[in-house]
Amino acid sequence: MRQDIIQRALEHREPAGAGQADPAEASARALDALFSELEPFVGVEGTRALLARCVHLTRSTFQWPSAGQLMPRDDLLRVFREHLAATGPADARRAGEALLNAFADLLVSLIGEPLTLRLLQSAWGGPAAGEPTLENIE
Amino acid sequence: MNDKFVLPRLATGVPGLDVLLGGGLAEFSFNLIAGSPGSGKTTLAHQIMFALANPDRRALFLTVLGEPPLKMLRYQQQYSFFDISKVGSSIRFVTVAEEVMSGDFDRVLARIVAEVEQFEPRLVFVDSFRSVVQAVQGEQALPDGQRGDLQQFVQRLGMHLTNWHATTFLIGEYMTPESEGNPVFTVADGILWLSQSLQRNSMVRKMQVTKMRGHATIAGLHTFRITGDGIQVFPRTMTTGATKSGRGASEQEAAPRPALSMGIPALDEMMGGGLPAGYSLLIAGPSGSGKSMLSTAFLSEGARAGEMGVIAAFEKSPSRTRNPRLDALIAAGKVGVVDTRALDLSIDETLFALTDMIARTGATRVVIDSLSGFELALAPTFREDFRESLHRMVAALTDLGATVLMISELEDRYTDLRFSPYGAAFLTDAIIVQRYVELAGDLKRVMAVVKLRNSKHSHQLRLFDITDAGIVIGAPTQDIKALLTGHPSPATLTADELPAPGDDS
Repeated sequence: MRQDIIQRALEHREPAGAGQADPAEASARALDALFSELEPFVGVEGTRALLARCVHLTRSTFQWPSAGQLMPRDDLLRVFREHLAATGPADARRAGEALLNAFADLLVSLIGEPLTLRLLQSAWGGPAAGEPTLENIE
Repeated sequence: MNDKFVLPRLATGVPGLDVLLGGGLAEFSFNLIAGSPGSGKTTLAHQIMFALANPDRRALFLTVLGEPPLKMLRYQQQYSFFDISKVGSSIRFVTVAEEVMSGDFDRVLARIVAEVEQFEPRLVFVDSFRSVVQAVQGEQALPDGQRGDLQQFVQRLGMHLTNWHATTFLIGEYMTPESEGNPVFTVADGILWLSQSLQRNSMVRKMQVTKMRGHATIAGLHTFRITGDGIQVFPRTMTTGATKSGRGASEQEAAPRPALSMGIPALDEMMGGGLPAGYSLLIAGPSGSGKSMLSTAFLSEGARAGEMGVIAAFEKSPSRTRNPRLDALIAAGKVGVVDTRALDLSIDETLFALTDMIARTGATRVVIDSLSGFELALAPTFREDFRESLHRMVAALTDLGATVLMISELEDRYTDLRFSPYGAAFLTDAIIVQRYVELAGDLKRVMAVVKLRNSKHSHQLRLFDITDAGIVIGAPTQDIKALLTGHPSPATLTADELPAPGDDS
């Protein structure tokens, strides 16, 4: 279910009318939405600490840039986007998914799957696991 | 015409707490939940929040410093009251740690007010409020100059939140002496104080409503327990003097009470027809003398008459009492068992368990087996007040209309006649004593009704046996005297000592 939510989050955040997929932009937008959900609750520093842990966990499959912990969010996302874009679409997609999966896994390990799914749903839209979708109701 | 405003109350949903609060917290009140670390402050706040929050009454939980938000959610989810479906929609968690760390009260207040304006909550929690103060003003001791700043901040916060129709809870780690002169305590409408104390190996949690503007509360310290369902408070029960039927004590005394059969016809005769309903009876005797058998007969007779019973069996396992007749009554659902295995009980927790079962089952016959086992099951801190607490418990149970039978284990002494090591005899309306005596080389049991308030009863000492059918009471021991001294001898009654015809007392 987590993977489905992440896939959907990335697909929905592809830039409209770009003609071709831009996984770097989609990943940056998904991360931005997740930050917007997390920062009011755990704070900027708390969110950055989570990101740092995810970067560490996925470093074996993708060499992330070293972003300053207190770099402004827009700057951080720009660095992230540019670094992904430089790797090519396929690797960018794989790396973006890996990072978001690590984020979800980390949250699940801390607060459990139901609350994490609820949080991801709130960040990226779409029903949480087990909740009826509009399609199901209709 | 007296059209005064009546303060609306919010029932907190925490079992027992609304009894302390006289019905709940005042709506839009500004409350402080204070206590030492680990005393259950955050758990209490969350329990109140999850009970009260809904789409029409949203809750904003502001975390500051201390327990990181993710860890707080991790732990609080373990409680059954934590309803994930409310998170995000009815309950929003927000950290204001960064504003607090800026050290600027104005910035903290602006952020809180902005969050309140955005989410429009009816419930606001700040955990921990003390962290706000410490971060802005340094350490604990507040110089007079800074105290004014804090007072102003607290007053402005209270004003904003009340104007937004928010009932507010500030949560803070405070110790009693610090509360003196602290502006937070001055401004707060209500203060709930949580504490925990360790005596020997037993830890006891207590709650006190030290302040509650606008309505009366039950004073004093009340025990509470934290389980997987959260906090349950056991209010220190005060008797009202009113009975279940709503009659006052004097009215109750005047009205004749129906006599309940003890399940042993000869004993009913000795008691002038039985035990008056609503009385408390102490059965005192040494180990093995038949006290539990007598209480089982009492419960069994109630079951036969369609009356439910409750037993708090402190010396036996609730699932198996080692009394087949009692086990059968329990298995048949005629007698409820109160689980008394914990060794850190309070009297009020036990009383709650009993009254809860009485309310659920309509039980009218209550057995406490035994007082010594009860005392052992209590946390050491409550043993000091055992007699006073027992008095409150008996009064509360009989107020409910229950007839209470208490067993007192007592070693035989031939130099004095005692009924209870707790001085409980004066608390009860009736006393039956059982003793061992030696007669012609045999160990025999004797029983007597020592006291039966406002009722005629026998004073005879009667031999009795315990058989497969239960207790069988035999003849009076009129031909023997000095049985209780341990040196019996044949009785030679003088004419003056002979009982009058028809008078067995």
